[in-house]
Amino acid sequence: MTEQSQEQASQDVMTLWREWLTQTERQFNALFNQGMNAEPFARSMGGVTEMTAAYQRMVTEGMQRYLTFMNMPSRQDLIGVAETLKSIEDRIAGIEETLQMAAAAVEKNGNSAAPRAEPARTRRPPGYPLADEPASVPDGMRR
Amino acid sequence: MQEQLAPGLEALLGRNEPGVGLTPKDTLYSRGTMRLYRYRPVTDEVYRVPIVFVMSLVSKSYILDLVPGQSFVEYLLQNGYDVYMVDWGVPRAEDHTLGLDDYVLDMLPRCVEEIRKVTGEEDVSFLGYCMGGLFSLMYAAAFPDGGVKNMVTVASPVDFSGMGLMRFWADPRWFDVDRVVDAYGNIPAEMVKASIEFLRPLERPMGYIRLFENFRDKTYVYNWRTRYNWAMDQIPFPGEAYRQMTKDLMWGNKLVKGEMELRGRRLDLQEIRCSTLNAMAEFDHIAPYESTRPLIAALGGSDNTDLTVRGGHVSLIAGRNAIMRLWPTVNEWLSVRSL
Repeated sequence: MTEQSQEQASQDVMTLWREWLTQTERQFNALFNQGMNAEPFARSMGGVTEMTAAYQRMVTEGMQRYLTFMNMPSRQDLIGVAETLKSIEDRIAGIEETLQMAAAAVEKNGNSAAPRAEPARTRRPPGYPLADEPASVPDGMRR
Repeated sequence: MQEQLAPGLEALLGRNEPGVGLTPKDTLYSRGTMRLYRYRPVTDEVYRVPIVFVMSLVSKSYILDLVPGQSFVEYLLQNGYDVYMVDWGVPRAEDHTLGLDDYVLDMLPRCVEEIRKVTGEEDVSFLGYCMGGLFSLMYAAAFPDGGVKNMVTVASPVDFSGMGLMRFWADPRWFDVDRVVDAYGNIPAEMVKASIEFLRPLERPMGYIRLFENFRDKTYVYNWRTRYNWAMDQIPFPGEAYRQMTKDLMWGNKLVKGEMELRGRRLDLQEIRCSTLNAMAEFDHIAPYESTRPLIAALGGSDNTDLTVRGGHVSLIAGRNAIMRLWPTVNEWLSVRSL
């Protein structure tokens, strides 16, 4: 057997192996899916999820009592602080928005600094006819 | 020998992780964990209409900006788009109260407003991946005059009767969503990951077998690592949003029925008249084809296109398949509609 044919044979084996792997994966996944598409499976999955949730709740409550006893903040307390911070952040965002609107109004009156360089918004797809309108047409009229 | 095995060993040991999400960007706006990024344009001339990526709630945004050469963001920048990204970030414990209405009626409109300030343009194009597509649709339905000129939905489920096993497992007969959300606050990342992995139980072990097979192939190992890391990098699901998704979409399938409401505002898909490209993967196990396919029929506009690609949920948007199929199609479709 020449070196070339040996290489060919090993490539054939690899191709067969890969095909087998893909088929096996497909068949097993289909088989599992069939099993999981049954009421008993879904019920037991729901049961496990609920049990885990109940356990989570129990641990949370137990831990909360313990932390209160130890005079320490619980996770819930920290979330409360974070929620307060978030609402402050939202208020700041609101103020920022108002300020930006005011700045935009000033800009409209021609009192602004020079705008930063932006690429021209005039690109057209290759081979597409050129625009009839000049690029300097005000934005509102370009639609 | 050791040198030959180095790529595979590095993957197993988690050394020299590939850098992801490296395309230069600036933060335009932030609120809580949410960030609105603007990627720095790389061409002198860009299309008039900016494109806004809307990310899913349950995965990290770097799937759209993987490594250089495999980044959808970078590809669009190079093709002359002004690219933005709404990244919801990793929800913190205090974010458990965030509902779909907060994302769709508060945060997205604010992001659009910020983009308008920068571009001076009223119009935007949305590109939503997975649940991001769902958010884009909800926004466009809630604000028919909200400036969405074009929309690309990628692997976005709309008809939840087609959600297969996920819907079956979430059936109210055996799944008490209130108890779960009340106990956890945010749904833990491990739980989200487990429910996805259960859909294809052999995917992970087979992935490792294939990695061993290609242990010495630097390119294979590199690509495997970027995508594997992303799949494992699951994030928690904000509790209130999860409750609403389960009740209104999984159980009620309200969006496609035209019964969905957010803060009393009805979301009617028939009100969406912008141009829409609905990209779907034929073998998507997370957003099955049966759940993504009915979108176009539910929309009100006349310029709607379906794109079905042979592949899965991730290969649709990232990797070789995406580079060859989805990205050029999106570019071609969007370019003539972004003038």
